[in-house]
Parts: sequence; structure tokens; C-alpha cells
Amino acid sequence: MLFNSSIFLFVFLPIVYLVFWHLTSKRARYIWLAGTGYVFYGYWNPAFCLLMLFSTLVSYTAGLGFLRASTARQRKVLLIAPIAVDLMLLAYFKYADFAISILNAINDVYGGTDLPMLKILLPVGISFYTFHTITYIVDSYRGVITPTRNFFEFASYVSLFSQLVAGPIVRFRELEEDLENIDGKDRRQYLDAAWSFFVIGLIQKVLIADTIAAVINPALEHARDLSSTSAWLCMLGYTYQLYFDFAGYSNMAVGLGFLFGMNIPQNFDAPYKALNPSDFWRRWHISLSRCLRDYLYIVMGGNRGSELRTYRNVFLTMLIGGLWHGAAWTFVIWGAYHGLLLALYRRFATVWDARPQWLQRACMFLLAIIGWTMFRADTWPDATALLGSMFMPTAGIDVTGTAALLVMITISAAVAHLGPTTFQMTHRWKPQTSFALAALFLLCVMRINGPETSPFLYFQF
Amino acid sequence: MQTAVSPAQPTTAGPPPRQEIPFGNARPQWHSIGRLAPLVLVLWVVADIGLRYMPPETFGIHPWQYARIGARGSAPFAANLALRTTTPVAAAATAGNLPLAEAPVDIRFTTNNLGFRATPGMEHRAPGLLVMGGSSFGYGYGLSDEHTLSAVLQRELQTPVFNGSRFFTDPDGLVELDDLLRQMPVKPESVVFLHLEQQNLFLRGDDNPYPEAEQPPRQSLQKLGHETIGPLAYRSLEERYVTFKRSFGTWLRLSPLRIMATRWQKALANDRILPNSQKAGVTALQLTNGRRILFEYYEWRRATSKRPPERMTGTVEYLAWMKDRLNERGLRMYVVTVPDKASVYRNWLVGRADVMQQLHQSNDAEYLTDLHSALSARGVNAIDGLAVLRRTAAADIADGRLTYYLDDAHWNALGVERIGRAAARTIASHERFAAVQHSAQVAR
Repeated sequence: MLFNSSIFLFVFLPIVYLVFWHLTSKRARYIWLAGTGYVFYGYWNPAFCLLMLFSTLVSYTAGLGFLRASTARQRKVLLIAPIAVDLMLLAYFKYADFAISILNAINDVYGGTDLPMLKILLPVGISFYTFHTITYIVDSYRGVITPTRNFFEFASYVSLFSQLVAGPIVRFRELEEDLENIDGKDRRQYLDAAWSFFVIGLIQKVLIADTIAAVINPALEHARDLSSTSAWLCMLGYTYQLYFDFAGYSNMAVGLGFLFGMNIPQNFDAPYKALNPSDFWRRWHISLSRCLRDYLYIVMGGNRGSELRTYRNVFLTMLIGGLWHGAAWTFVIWGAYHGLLLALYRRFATVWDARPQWLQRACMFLLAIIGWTMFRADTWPDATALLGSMFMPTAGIDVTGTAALLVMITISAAVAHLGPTTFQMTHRWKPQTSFALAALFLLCVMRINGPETSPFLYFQF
Repeated sequence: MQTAVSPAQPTTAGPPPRQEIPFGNARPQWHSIGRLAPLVLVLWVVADIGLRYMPPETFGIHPWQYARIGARGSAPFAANLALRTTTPVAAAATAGNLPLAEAPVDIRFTTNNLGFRATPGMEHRAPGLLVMGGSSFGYGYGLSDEHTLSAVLQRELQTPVFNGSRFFTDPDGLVELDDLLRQMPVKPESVVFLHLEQQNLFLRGDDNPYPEAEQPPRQSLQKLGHETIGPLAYRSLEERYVTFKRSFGTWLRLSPLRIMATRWQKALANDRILPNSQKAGVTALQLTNGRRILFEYYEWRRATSKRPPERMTGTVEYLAWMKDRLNERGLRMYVVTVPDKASVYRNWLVGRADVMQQLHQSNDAEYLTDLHSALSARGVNAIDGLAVLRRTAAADIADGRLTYYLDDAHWNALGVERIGRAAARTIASHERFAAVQHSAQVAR
């Protein structure tokens, strides 16, 4: 089920909301949120719910174990075993065919027989809820949180539909207080903020991101044949499309959280205003970069060792971050690219920071576009072809709908580079602004009821 | 000057501090987005439901789709409907968001009291002939009442013809036929079984000889239902469930607001404002007379694929089996094969070299001709629709008229007339329908 779909807006959300606020006990609300999360998730494929349930049970049981464990060895086992289970599931569903393709490539060199691909269907959102459960286990081990004894409280955290399939990656600690006080919330307190976040997010996704996609997707099917101008227009368009698609989803997730009294944390903080690579990753997909920092980078040693070791840790963290996005070489290379940028920035920060801020922002934006070119391309040859067209004068196919694309890019640029983020707004709108937002919301509803509903880009991760 | 830091270096090893969000507003105002946004959704629903009370032709809803709402039991349509609309018959142009090549068609669509497409002039008369199969070609998609196959046969044979064809998603086998025959006070004498070139008929095995359209799990469920709550109660429950699912699903899909929203967006995707990405799903060719002809994705895929040999074997076996089953019920069977548009006009299509090569390499142009021969060898009376339409194809194209819609997969009134007359000639040579009309009513 998508947030930008009629079934969600007209059926699922009203029912879940009305019943939730009709229930009064904590337990009933936990059960309702957990159950509706499974309905939401099972709408794609009911079989996937079993996977999520299994992951939930494993992590919950590990949490209970931490409450009883008395020795360091027991705690270690309770840390490693469930994480291994979670990662094995993730590895199988997400990376098995990728691994087979690598083995087959090696086989081809030595003249061996190719292994058959397993053609495994990737469960939607597995990367996200697996991270939720892993962070819970690690935080329990570290003593940062006290594991919950209430299964339904934990289940409602894992399956909370607002952040289930595309983030933000919300740690248990961040929602714990809200979950504990779930029966004491005032329905009206965050109503305005909830709908404001949701409507703004929907506008970002449906009116901006999807309109850009409608123009650039047909053009990018012929990525190797685009002219230089077309290549630049497409990648500039994609840069904004990806941001508004993902930030839009995150804003909707925040809004939906508020509707049920939950504070979902900010996931984007105007990333295209970033001054340098380090700043970029403090602003883009904040929940993921914090997880990578806390559960990977720091575990590897962070910056506590030598400079060379720090560079290595940074590079490996981003490489794994790239791989997390998808089982393809383009994602791995994209991750390595950003790892290299971070390492280089660390080395030459004084030189970079001495430049005027406008130049720093422009350069960082250009570096981001180059990265997104690798991210968007279906194959590495497509990525190199696109980059070649962008940086060397090339004749080729033009984009149909250039005027519309230019309008959308202009609007996107104004919002992304100059406008406030949703977390900088007070969400107490004047009547004129409220009506304008409502009119745009109506436009979104009309668009949603059109011929196609496009899924969120980050669903594939 | 900024100090170089490693990526997002934390000051502590724990999760980020809980953010304080100054968004709380205890009393939303009347103009707040917290009130307006839900109001937009409510108004949308109210408008959508309200607009459905307007006649379906206001929004260009096809009558054969609208008629699905309220269809009861195994009947394809709601009973006793009389709809009139002027609508384009152009599914391919719609799918590809392309301009129409032909004018909209004036269509009268009526259903009888059993929920089937009515044949004009058949009211209260016992049918001599029953048309079954053929899904949309049979029930008359894109055709006015007087142009359906049953109407043409009735005119030519001077005997009442009942149109028992069903919607393409409806089960359409012996179970449904027996159900229909039970509702008729007087049984017909013969059955015209419409077989489309695109259809894949096969027997599942001696123990469960139902065609592709009948779902074996349904039969298992039926058996379980009969054993637990009894056949009558099960049938009543099943009928209610099927009616509700079909009606509600159709009602949901035929949303006037959704129709208008779709049209608005398609108007923008015209390759001038936004790209028309939908045209890639449609194959556009030309006829030798210069007119554009469209094929939807599934049509073109069929036209350029070679059918496996078991496909014909399966169809012949099924039709021979069906003939025997109908004979057991005292009914004679005639099979009318209806070709795909591409099969009829294959030799008069003009397009890009690679596209035409795709078409001619499939080498399956004579499938229906071979099928006709195989059926005749099994003693099945068959009328070869492909031969009928190909005979006049060249002259038709020269005259600027076709037997199919240019922008749709379906036959038009001329196509039905040609095949209907050929079928009537064959049937008339075998049958002697009673000269005196039965006085018994069709309905109970």
C-alpha cells in the first residue's frame, strides 16, 4: 500500500485513525497499531508478513534474554545470534542473486558452468525493518535502552506503518517515550502539524517528484543516446526527483506519526544546502547515516586510530551504505564514491573550507549530481555514458517535455536551495496559506486518481 | 572556517537526543490545514458518490461496464437495463493516449430479465438458438443491440436467438450453461459456440473436465460447501458473494472523478507538455490505404508469437468434448471461429521494417484455417471466420472500411454481419427451426 494511493487515503488511514482514538487502553492501541501495520505491509504480499513477524519475534526474544542474562558471554551470544539471523535473511533475499552473478562472472573467466539465478522476490522494506530490529538488539546490549517485556509494544514499534517500508530508520529509544504514553495522548495536539507535514510531503512526492519522473524516465531509457543538454537536464531533474520523493515520503511519515502521537525524527535537513561531503551526510537520510555511524563506523574504530585507519573506516562504512541501497555494482560504486569524497574532505578540509560558502555549496551540489548519476543508472556502462555526455559535448536525443522539466527544476531548486525545511516551519498557517495547501492537496488527490500511481523510489531498498 | 570532522561524529555513543518540536496546537482553527485536509477527502468522497447518480453516458462510461453493477449470480449484467450512449470504441487508442481514428459509435445496450444482453425482438419468445462463449465479441462490446451476432443470426434464421455470452472475467463452462438452461422454461435446439483465436481452451483431465475459465479451487470449495451447509444454502451464499464482489469492484472502478482526473492527466501527456509514455504499449501501423491501425500490447504479442502445437490440440479436444456434452443435453453445436484483427489484415499492414519482420517471422498466419480443418475432421460443425473476412479484406480496404475497429481489437457491425451471415447459411443447411413461434415466455 502506498501513501499516495486512494486505498490508503480513503480507506486505510481513516479506519486506523478513528479506531485508534476510539480505543483507550495502552494494550489495545499497541495491538491495533501492530495489526494494522501488518495489514499495510501484507497488502503487497501477505507472505512477507511472516518474515517480518519472524524478525520481530527473534529480536523481542533477544531483548527478553538481555533482561535475564547475567554474564558477558550470554550477552554476547544474545547480541550476535539474532543479528546474524537478521543479516542472513537480508543477505538471502537481497544479495543472493547478486552473489551468484559475481560467481558466474568469475566462472566465465575460468570457463566454468554458470549457476542458475534464484530470482528471489525482494520483500518491500526489508532493509528498513531489519535495521529497526538490529538497532534494538545493539542498544539493548549496550544498555542504552531497557528492552520491553510487552510484545505488542515492540511489535507496534517494528510494524508501525508510517515508517515501515521506506524509513526513517527510527530507533526504539526515539519512540519509547511516545509508546509508553500512548494512552495519554491528546488527539488534537499535533493535528495541524500532522496534516501539514503530510500534505507538504504529498505535494513534494506527487506534484514535484512524479512530474519530473514523467519527463526524465522515458529519456533515461535511452541513457547512452542523450545529448549533453539532455543528460544534464535529466540528471538535474533526477537530483531533485530523488530528494523530493524521499523527503516527501519522510515528511508524510512524520505527519502520520503525529496523527497517532508519535514523534518521528527528521530525516532530511536541506541536503542541497550542504557545504561539504561531511555536512551532506549530516543532512541526507539522517537516520541512515546515524545508524551507519553508530553501528558500523564507531564499531570499526571511528576516528580513534590513525588517520589512515580513519579513512579506511569512512570508506568501508560508505561502501556498505551503498550496498545497503541495492544489490548492484552501481550502488557499490556510488557508496565508494561518497566514501572517497568523505576521506578526501577529511584530508583537505582546510583548503575546502577556505573557499567562499557559495562556492562550497555549488561544488558539493555538483559532486552530489555526479553521485546520483551512478545511483540512477541501470548499469555501469550507462552511468559512464551519462557522465561522458554530461562532461563532453555530445549530440543526441532531446528530452520531450523540456519546458515542463525546466519549470519543475526551477521550482525544485527554489525550494531545495532557498526554502525552509518542514522542521523549520511552525505549521501554523495563515488562512490564505492553509487554503493554498488544501488546493494543492486536492490536486494531489486528483493526480493519485489518475492512470498510474508511482511507488516511492526508496521502496526498492 | 569549518573544522574538518569525520562523518557525523557524535559527542556521545548513544542515539540522538529527542528533538523538541514546537508544533503542538491544542485548538485547531476552522482554517487550519488539520481541518481542511480531511475536509478535502470528505468532499471528494461526497462528490464522487453524488456524481454517480448522473447517467453513465455523462462521463463516457461504457454501458457493458456499467451494466456489471448489480449483475446477480452467474449472469454477466444487471437485468432489465436499457442504456443508450455515444462512445468511442478505441481501447488501443485509449491505452496509448493517442487521437482517435474513428468517430464515436451510437450504442443501444439492453439486457433481458435474466441479466444477459438482449436480442431485439426476442422478448417473450422461446429461443431456437443459444450463443455462448466469445466473451466481449459474443455479448457485443462496441456494438448496438441490433448489430450483435445473436441479432444477425436471429434476422437471418428467422428464429429467436438468446445471447448467452458472458463477460471475459466470468466463468463460462458447463456449470454456467446448465444454470442458464435451468432458468429457461423452453430449451433452445442448438448452440453457437463462439471461439476466439486468442482463447486457449483445454481440458484439465477426465476427472475434472472444465475449461480454463472455470477454476478448480472453486469446485473444491463448492464441494466443501455442499457437504457442510447444503447445496441450496451454499449456492445462495456464493451468489451473494459473487454479486457483491463484482458489483462493488465495478462500482469502485467506475468513479466519475477518477475518470475526469485520468482524462485531465492524459491531456497533459501529449508529447508537447509531458511525454506520452503510454504510446510505447501500443503498436501503430498503417493499412495499404494509408489509414492508421492500432494493436494493443497483448494483441501484438499474440500476432508475433508462434503458438505451441498443443494449443490447437487442446482446443480441438475441448470443443469435441463440449460438442458431446451438449449433445447429451439435446443440443446441437456449431463453432464459429473469430480471428484476431492482425490475422485478417496481416497482408495489408505497412510499418517499420523490423516491426513487419517480427510479424511475418511468427509464421502462424494459418492457425485458424488449420484449426477449422482439425475440427471438421472431428465431426464438429465449424464456420471459419478467418476465411470469411479475408475473402473481402482487399475490397474492404480499397473502400476504406474494415470489419474491425481501427483503434480496438473488436469486430465492428460489418464484421459481425459478414461472419453472422456465413454462420447462418451453415446452420440453416442443418437446421429446420419450428415455423410456429413458441408462446411460452423466456422468464419464469
